[in-house]
Amino acid sequence: MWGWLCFWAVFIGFRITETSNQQILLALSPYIFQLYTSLFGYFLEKFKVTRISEMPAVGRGFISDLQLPTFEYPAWTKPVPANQRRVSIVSTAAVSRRGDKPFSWLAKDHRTFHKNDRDLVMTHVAVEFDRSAWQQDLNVIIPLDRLEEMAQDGEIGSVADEHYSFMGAADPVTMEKSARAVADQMKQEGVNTVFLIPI
Amino acid sequence: MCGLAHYFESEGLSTVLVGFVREHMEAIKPARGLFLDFPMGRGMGKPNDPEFQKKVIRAAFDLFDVETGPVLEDFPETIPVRDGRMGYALPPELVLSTSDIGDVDSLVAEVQAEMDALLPDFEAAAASRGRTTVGASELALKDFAPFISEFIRGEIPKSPRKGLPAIPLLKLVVEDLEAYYTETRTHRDGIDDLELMGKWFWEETKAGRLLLSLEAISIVSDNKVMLQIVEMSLMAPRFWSEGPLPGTSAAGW
Repeated sequence: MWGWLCFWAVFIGFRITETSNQQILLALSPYIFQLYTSLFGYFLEKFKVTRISEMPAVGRGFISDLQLPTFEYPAWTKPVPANQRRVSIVSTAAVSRRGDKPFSWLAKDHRTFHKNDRDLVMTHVAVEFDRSAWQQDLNVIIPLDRLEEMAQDGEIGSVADEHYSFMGAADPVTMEKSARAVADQMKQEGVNTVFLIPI
Repeated sequence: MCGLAHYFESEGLSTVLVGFVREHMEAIKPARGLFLDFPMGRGMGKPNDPEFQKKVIRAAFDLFDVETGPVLEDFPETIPVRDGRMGYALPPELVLSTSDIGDVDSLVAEVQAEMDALLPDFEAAAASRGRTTVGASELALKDFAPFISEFIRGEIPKSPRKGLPAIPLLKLVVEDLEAYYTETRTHRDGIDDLELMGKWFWEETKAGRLLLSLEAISIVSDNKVMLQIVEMSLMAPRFWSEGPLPGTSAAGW
């Protein structure tokens, strides 16, 4: 896009030099129109949101047909001030410490890992997401280092010792028992804030 | 993920989640949600970019300042996806049949040679990063291709790992094999491009051909689980393809 803009800017400059002042506006009008069109297209693309309807057939069919849980009374807990936040991450990437039992394909249970654990492996059943990112940097799916830096800078209170992983392919309704057990563990550790990150 | 948020919130814990499918976030209405127009698998956006990652976290945590909810906001920056697909997809026409497989021993030998050639760079990558994600299967590198080849020969071998049946183990070996290649390449060549990595591994390497051979066998297998793996795109990346794998309906989902 910027290449086209540069091209038109140079081209318009040439036209100005060979055109009398009275004719400039008329001469420029088609290029100004094209400039506006290009800018409009650029912003349209920039702010366009990827929708299910735009996804390719197989994925679109699966994602559209998913039975989504609904909650008659959505819960709401008033947050504590930022400097009092003790944050625990919940990931649905099915990661676990090396040597832990792998997740089954529709696992209802969870795995726990410590904030200093970095030797994690993934046993998620699905392959539709990019795995090359987390191979390069764990923080792109589980940002423990970033949260630690934010705690040191006072942006949050502290990072919990324990963090949790679930199998994202499973129906969340089947995970309720495990999620509530995790919530108990979190509260025992003084956690008041949960950061949920899918894969 | 949105459902989990509800359970934690109802336990008196304040939650915020990030998500990739806006329509699901709109429907389930978690207390606080930040929609990310990123490829799946990149919740914090960009690997090895701490500032971008913190930008995502801060945008999510800003939602704690909203007095009432549920609240759903869009992260202002996007990481473009290709043709609406959230990850790499094999070209629909790239499908092997059983008659394309050829001599399995030769193919395994070619994969072993390819892996041997990558080993120094794999070790350098692991040393540089201080970690590797390879090893979920707990098989040795040298055993990846031979284990997979037994399935290509039409056998379901005995699982060498206690407590984990052969077919679930096969899936982990397949993912370990791919991770071995992509971890190596992303580090060696300084590449962070999921499309390029997918194309290279699945379309250009001998290991990719080994796995496409496995897919060809699976699709004609009498074993329902093997068939389900290909029906559900749980091995070869066809989830984002325009149409199901020929011979399947993609109805396994």
